[in-house]
Amino acid sequence: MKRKLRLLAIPARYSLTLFLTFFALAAVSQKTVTGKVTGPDAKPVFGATVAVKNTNVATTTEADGSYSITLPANTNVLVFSFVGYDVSEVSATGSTVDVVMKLQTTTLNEVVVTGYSSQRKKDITGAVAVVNINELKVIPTTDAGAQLQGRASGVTVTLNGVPGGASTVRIRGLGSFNNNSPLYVIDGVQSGNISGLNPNDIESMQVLKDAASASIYGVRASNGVIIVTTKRGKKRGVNVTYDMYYGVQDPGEGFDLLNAQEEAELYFLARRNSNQPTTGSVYGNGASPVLPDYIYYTGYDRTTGVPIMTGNPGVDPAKYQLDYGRLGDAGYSPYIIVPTSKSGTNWYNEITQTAPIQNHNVAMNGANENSRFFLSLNYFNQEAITKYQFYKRVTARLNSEFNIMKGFRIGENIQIFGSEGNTADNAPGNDNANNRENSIIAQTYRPMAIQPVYTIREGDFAGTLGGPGVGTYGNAKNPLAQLYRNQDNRRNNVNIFGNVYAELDLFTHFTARTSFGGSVNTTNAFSYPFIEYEHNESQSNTTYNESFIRNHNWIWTNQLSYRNSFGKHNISALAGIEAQKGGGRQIIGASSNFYSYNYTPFINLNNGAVPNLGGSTIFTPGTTFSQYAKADYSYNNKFLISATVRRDGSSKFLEPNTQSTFPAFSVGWVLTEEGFMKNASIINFLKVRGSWGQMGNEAAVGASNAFTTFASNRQSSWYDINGTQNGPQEGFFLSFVGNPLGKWETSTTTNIGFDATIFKNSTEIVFDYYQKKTDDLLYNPAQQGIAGGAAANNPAFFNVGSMENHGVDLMITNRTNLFRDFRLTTSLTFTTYSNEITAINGNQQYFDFNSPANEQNRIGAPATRNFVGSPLNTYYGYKVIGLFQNAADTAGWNQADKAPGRFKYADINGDKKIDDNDRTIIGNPNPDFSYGINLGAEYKAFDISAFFYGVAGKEAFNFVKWWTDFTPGTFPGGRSKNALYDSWLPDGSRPDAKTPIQETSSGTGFSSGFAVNSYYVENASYFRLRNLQIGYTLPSSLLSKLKISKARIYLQGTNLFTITDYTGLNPDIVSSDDRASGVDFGAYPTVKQFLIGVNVNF
Amino acid sequence: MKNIKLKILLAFLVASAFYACKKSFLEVKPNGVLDETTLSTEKGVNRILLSAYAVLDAADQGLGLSGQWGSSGSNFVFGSMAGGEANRGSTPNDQGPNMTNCLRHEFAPTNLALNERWKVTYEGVKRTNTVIQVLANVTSISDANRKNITGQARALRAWYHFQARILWGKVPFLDEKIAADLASGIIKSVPNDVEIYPKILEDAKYAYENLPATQDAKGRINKWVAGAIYGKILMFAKDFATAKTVLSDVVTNGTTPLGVKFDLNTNYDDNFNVAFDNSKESVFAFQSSAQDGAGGYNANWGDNLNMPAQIGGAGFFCPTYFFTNYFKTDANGVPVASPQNTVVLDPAGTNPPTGAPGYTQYSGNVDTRLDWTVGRNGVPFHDWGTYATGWQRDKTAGPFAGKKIMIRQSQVATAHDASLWFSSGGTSLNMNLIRFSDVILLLAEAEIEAAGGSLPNAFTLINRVRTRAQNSAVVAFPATLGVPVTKPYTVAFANQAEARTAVRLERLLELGMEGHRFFDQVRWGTAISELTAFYNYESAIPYQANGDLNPKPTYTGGPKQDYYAIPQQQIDLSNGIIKQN
Repeated sequence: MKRKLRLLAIPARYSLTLFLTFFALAAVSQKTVTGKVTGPDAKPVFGATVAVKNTNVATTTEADGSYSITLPANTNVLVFSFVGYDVSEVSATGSTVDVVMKLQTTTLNEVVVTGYSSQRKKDITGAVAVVNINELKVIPTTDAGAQLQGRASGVTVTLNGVPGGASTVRIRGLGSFNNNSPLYVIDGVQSGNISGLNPNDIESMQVLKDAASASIYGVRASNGVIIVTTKRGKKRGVNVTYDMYYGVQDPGEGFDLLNAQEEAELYFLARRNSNQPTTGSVYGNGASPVLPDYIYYTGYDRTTGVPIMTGNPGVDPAKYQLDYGRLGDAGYSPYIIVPTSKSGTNWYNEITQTAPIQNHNVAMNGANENSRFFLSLNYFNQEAITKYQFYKRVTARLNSEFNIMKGFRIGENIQIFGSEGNTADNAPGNDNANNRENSIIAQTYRPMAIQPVYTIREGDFAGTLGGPGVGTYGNAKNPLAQLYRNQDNRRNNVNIFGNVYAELDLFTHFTARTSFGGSVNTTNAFSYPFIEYEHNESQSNTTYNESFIRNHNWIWTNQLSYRNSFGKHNISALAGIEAQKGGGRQIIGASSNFYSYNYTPFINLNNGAVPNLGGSTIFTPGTTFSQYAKADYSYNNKFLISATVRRDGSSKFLEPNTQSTFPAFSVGWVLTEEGFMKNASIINFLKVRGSWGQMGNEAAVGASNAFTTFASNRQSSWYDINGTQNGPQEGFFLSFVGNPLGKWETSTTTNIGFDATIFKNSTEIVFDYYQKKTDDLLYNPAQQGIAGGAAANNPAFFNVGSMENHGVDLMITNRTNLFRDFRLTTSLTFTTYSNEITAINGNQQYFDFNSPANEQNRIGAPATRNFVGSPLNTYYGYKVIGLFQNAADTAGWNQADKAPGRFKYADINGDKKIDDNDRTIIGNPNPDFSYGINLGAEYKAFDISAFFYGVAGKEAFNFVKWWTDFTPGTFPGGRSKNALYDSWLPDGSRPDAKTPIQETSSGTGFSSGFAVNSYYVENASYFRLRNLQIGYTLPSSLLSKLKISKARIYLQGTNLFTITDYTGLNPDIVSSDDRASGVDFGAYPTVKQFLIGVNVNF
Repeated sequence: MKNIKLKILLAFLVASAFYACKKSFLEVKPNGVLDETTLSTEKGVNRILLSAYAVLDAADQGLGLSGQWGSSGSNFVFGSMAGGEANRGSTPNDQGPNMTNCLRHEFAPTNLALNERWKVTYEGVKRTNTVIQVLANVTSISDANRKNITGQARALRAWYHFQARILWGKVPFLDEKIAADLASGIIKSVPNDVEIYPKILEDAKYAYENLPATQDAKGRINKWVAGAIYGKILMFAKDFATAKTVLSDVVTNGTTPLGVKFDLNTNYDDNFNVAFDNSKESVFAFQSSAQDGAGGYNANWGDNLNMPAQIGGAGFFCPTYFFTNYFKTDANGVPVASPQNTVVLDPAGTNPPTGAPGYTQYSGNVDTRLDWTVGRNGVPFHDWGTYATGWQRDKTAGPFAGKKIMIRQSQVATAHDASLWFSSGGTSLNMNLIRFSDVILLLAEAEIEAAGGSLPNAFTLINRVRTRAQNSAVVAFPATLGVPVTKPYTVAFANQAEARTAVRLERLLELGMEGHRFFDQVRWGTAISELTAFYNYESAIPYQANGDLNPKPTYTGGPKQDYYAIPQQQIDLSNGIIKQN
């Protein structure tokens, strides 16, 4: 044995001595200690951990609190820990040690999982936010990211209201143009998202914010890291819990729009304002508008503007015929008759419903000396507030661990889920995804109120066909028809995620660990658009689309860790290597021209007369290989030092830039351990911390960024050179000009902070201030058009940009026993970030970015411009300084399309002329700060908690106004009350109006709605009661007969109120791109939910 | 026990080291694409050449260059609307700023359609340069084939640059030597401070002189197609003498790529009928294809919205009164002297309202080509039914609809791509770029303008076009709406000015709504007078009260109105090397 060790150690000349020393120590005799652990109430504590300090030797207590442990030589300190109790350290002088544990007064001794290791909170020198999981779980959703909103300082979450949708999580602002998503590490396995995780399975969650804590994850760490540990078996025997809630979601009110009669009045108002006769429209020829009885029948000449009244031969119901199944047939045309919706259709009310939401979770866990397990099964079903839409998911998890022999453990964590849904966000393609112009919510303000839901035959949907006098009725869809017809579209996911691992304890102080994990995700989606007959832009596409995508990713980590102490010196260290690889495939197919158009069981890829061919994509795999090491040292619990280094290699970069090294250092000084602070009566614990480090990022870059490639693209490079009408030949084009010199993006973070507990340990404060600079920022700056459309629209990434962030994270928690049996817990999180772009590309001073909603298509320019010297994502346009009041006012102002009642823009550059150069920054969606306040109280069997979340100093670009506030707009449609009741009038009676004059023509619209201007920018700060819960724990006397150890019932309301000046549906506007966030096309609202729930422990 | 542990430890250290050592783990080639080497064969270069043809329609969904409706390679906005032939259509402000400021000739460097057209035009240039660059790597190829490929690439490069030249005036020229810098990933800026016609003509001339007379595919440029391109560009560059020689050669000897002698089709409308794609009159066209698995994006994409709302379009691109009035003919079947008098071709009598001053229903003779060009009230719209103003989406579009890009209802099943949103747009109807009648009329012009040209020759050529119109099938409609009559001129041109007037009018009648008008007006120097007349006339008509011509625009010429604004984004990205008009 000794010889073997020597052989091993010789090559590593410097470690030889160390190894021999440890071996020598290990060779000295051991001793066994027994004892009993009890609580303050003298009852035995079952399942408490008893560990030998600074070793990997540990055991747990039996049901009677007893334990037995063998101490390695030269060790004599035992550490007793259990959830809810303070950690106790006791020197084992004799062979029996009994311990009375104290109820927890501070969480400082709590051990939390950080990068590849775990630490006591009080030993942490980096910036780590520890999330309170019990508080987190109260938000009813499948998305743990949404639950995180307001729960951790330094984390900004924007909610996605669509069932099954993923929220946007950002840690410490925005460090990159393209990808700011944090890295998630779930049971040691890296992942790009957390939305698939069953929130009920989460045991703990930590947010690593600075380089000192996160840079050990080098590759993706620069956006911050969220560490999630799922539950494990803890207690002897089998313990079963059941948690459920059931509730309803209240869709609330939609947009505040005009009714049918008011629309007619607005039409007359616009005509009068423009000195045009009000006669000759469907609203009649009188002084005030009269609604017609019908708005359309097949054959109605829309240009006449003659209202259709009862008795018109065209509306004879006998003529009505519509055979939906024949719509696709050549030569078939229906005869439809559409009545006027005289009271006005409230489209939001028509498409929404009070929708149920339910969740059931059964979990079992158990342990014995050689194994432990955790098993859970979860069922979640949420119907959307939009009719016919839903998202449901079944999740199963099994975590287990086995002691194969003493000091050798094998375990696994695995989760499988299947989900099914048809919500808009999950629809294949994204035309009607959330917060787009064709989203289902946007389609509630885009149709006019005069349009009915149905034709004269209930069930046959009516649309925008109709007559002028009001133009046509626009190009909106009938949203109820959309929902009804798309209800059979699906997107189904099956996902397997987890890892297997082995741990080996070596020589008392070492542990070797290997873990192989990853995920396989498959998505099968299909959709079939229905032929429309009712609209101006009726959909005639009959293409059935189906796709199948499989993504997989594996990661293999091997690590050796070491932990020891010498007198007052405590050391822990680890080193490891990690390799990962991801890839996937996609198969798509399409088919059209079906024999039977609407017999859906027939619709598949085989049956269409025109197979639109399919395609497959093999995603280029990305690989990384990394080596990492970390060492922590503390002296006398007073001085703490930590150093980390990671070297990463990525397949995205070519030699010599493949690899890069990211170091980090941090120090901590526990002042309360110093003599001068020991007697401070108010401050119980105070540690100041500082850190510096670097982290890398390559997430923005695609796997083939370095390569110049030629591709074949049917839509792009194929050409029917033989003039066959339908048989283009395959062509190739230079599809991508790569950047072979790309290298790692690096962010450097400096962090200072302190952790304190004050007032008899009742209040904990964690404060951090940070600066983060990102250099060599990878960005794909637009290339010149003369490089060709391929290079201009799909340029490679170069290391050209830089960015800075700084901000403050603050978390305060207070626990107070106000009086006997009345416990009060208050916590506050406070987050600020301030972001500045410091370089884009050489001398380039800005870049424009059109939001995913594509406002540019409507308003002629993107709402956002990103400037050097300003935060990422600022709204850029003309600043409205008022409305022109009269001819004298317009005479003195050189502005296109100026007229009384229209917008007057500020002359920013003072050249007495309003043009492109007078655009300026008119808003910023980055908040000044956000905060979460949690109040919790317990009195005897009752508990109550309230969680408030607020965002201040944030602006949004309310693009809904483009559709609702202007006459003329592009399309007739729903109009706001503002347009009729608060718009400027030529008689001067509304001089303070903000909404411009309603007219029949506004020239190019430059001085009204057709320019990016500050009229659209609104304060989107808000304060929301995110959650209110009242619980009652049933008396145990009642339960014991039922073999139930604990049962709690609760009532809960979510999003009960929101205080905001924002006039859109929801100030929390989800965005999928940080370069253009907060542009609101009517994002899916965050609605009120009312739940009743039960927690039972058997 | 310890031995076992050590073995386990060693095993996984070794396994880990295996990955550490395997350097190739980090070397990953992109999937699904090719590199230059693989394509450096004759077959490969021919495949790249196909892609150089594929953006002749100026739309490319694969690159995201199909989003701006006004940017079509048919030039329906930049040539036709801008020349007073058509209104924007649809509803007020739909696609507003982009199309509206073109037809109003307001200088707008932020116009998105122009930026998109710029990018897709130079994508075409890049693809031709890529052909030439990769061809240089190919060693095993016959000289004839090398010349053929080079000739096609240079003809296309000439065409794309020519489009850029007539759209923007001052534009950079990129050949394969400049484009070679693209390999580094970032392109250098190329200034736009020199006239590029000489370089464009060099390319076109090379193609004309080196390409074979026949090719293996209908859509492949041969010597004669190249000659037509060359001749047309010569006319724009005002080298009338050379143009006369070249165009005369094409008219006399030219054949289609498959060897059919160029000639006018029997029926005028055959040029706009998908059943006659690649006819003997089709000199140069974008080969549209539908139902080909590309989701409709190869199918006449740019004109997808330009159909009447009634039959499944969005109702863009609606002819103006000013344009349609030119189709009035007299008893002799020749154009009337003052077409823009108070009597307009008023189709409905309701819009503008019947009885309004000056709006008498026109019942005189009309050119036979009118009803193949314009959908008007009371006249059959192919087999889609009788057109009515009510087919329009909004009355601000005027009463008419464009007809040349429409297929027949009976052709929908075979020529329309059902994966598209609209039920009549997106078809395999080819996009005409040069028709043989265009070549004939250009030659007529060359005869009129060139020193040593012949007015009698011009007379004959113009009458050749008119005779075909005379003999073409006509659209049947009630006699109350006039009678379709077109006849050749019988009285020879008295002088150059008279001949000029005739040929210019003939281009409008023959090539109306095909994207030529504004470029012709600028080339002739008549843009100021004609567009001023157009604006004065059209903006006074009541329907324009809410239309794009209110307030009335003005046209005073100069580089800011004769050409479109160079996109501001391109100027910014060039660091100011590219200068604005």
